[in-house]
Amino acid sequence: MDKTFPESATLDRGYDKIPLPFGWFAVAASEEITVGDRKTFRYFGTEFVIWRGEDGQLRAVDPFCPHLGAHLGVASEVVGNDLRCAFHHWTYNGEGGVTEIPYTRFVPPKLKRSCLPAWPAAEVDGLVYVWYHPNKGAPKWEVMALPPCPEGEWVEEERHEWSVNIHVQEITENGQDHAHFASVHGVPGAPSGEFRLDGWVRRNIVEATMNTPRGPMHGKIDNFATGPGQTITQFIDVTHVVLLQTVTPIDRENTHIRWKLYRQSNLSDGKMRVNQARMRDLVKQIVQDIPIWNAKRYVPNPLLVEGDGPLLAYRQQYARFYDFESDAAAE
Amino acid sequence: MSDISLTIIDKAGTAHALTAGSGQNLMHLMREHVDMTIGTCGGEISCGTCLVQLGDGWAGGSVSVDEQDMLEALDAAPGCRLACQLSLEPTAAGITATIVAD
Repeated sequence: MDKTFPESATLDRGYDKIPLPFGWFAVAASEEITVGDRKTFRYFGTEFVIWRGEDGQLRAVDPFCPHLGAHLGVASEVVGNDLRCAFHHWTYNGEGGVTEIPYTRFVPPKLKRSCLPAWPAAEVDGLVYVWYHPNKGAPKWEVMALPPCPEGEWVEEERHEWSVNIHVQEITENGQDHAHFASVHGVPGAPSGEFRLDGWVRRNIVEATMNTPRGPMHGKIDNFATGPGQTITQFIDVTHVVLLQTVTPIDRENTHIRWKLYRQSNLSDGKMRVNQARMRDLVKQIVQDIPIWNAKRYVPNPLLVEGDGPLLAYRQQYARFYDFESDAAAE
Repeated sequence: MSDISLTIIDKAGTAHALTAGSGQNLMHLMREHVDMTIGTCGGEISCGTCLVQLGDGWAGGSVSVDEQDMLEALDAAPGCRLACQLSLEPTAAGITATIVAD
């Protein structure tokens, strides 16, 4: 992962004033945790431990054993579908309940129910997601899957990841920042189209001019975000590329971006070339964004003019992901 | 605050006459004055070492689900409670509580 520190790292960039949003966030590729594996992850300014039981299911828990504080990611072992702490061999299931204590008469009923906070975990399209909520609030929506492939099936063509020195909210805000497309990316013409905010979902459908090897080409960009962690963007013209972007807070000032780029199966050579150029162009664009992200500051009251795009509407919706007291269910 | 007099019978069968204030936790009282080996979990309802048989006169108040499950897992006799879940009340005056041996 490329990690570039900004020259202004000692300046106040405003990120300690924004909390981390709740939501589903990608934390690993599925193959990084095989059956019997357990791994410690550092995201959201904390740590958690994920293991895969012999049934193939993932389970995630807080890192410290509530018994006497051992780190459950250190020298612990997956036993069946459970995780056994190295310190005294207490064994936990995925709900954080104790299933075995080798030296006491029976597992106390209260501990059997749950005594170790668990994290909701899901696995969709080859990525492992956990539900982060600072108060351990329950998930309010489901992880979004790839749209159905209109013809054949999706082929994962490329994968990229970056660690960026910025708060997670700022990365997806960039998509609402219309004016930067011309100045930073040299995309001809500002995108125009519909922008919808609905509950936990944000959707932009724009008719845009995209760069291709044969010059600018008119097409449709359908950008669909559910929650703060996941965006699926479809680029549709003579071909159809899908970008699955996940953004995961490492802490308030650092974010892990993952990209998976998909194309349709059984493409002609010509369409493959258009696809490859599209993917190259997308990667080029984020590489252009990253140095700006790495050093920019969060401006709570930005000076906006006509042509800047719906940044404030985006922020207004995003504030819902900071409503940690609300029990509002999925919409 | 009036002191409450009570008798604790330890695992060897010895009676200990104690007085305590209203609101005092029975497990802490017994651990301090009678038997320091009880109350391993400190009141988390996860060890069962403070199991007591309450004599006539005081039942100790309501029983939580966690305590009830633990009493059943311990196969405790009727009238037994986990002392860590009991706060002394004036109505407990004069009772006898027997620490149940493992």
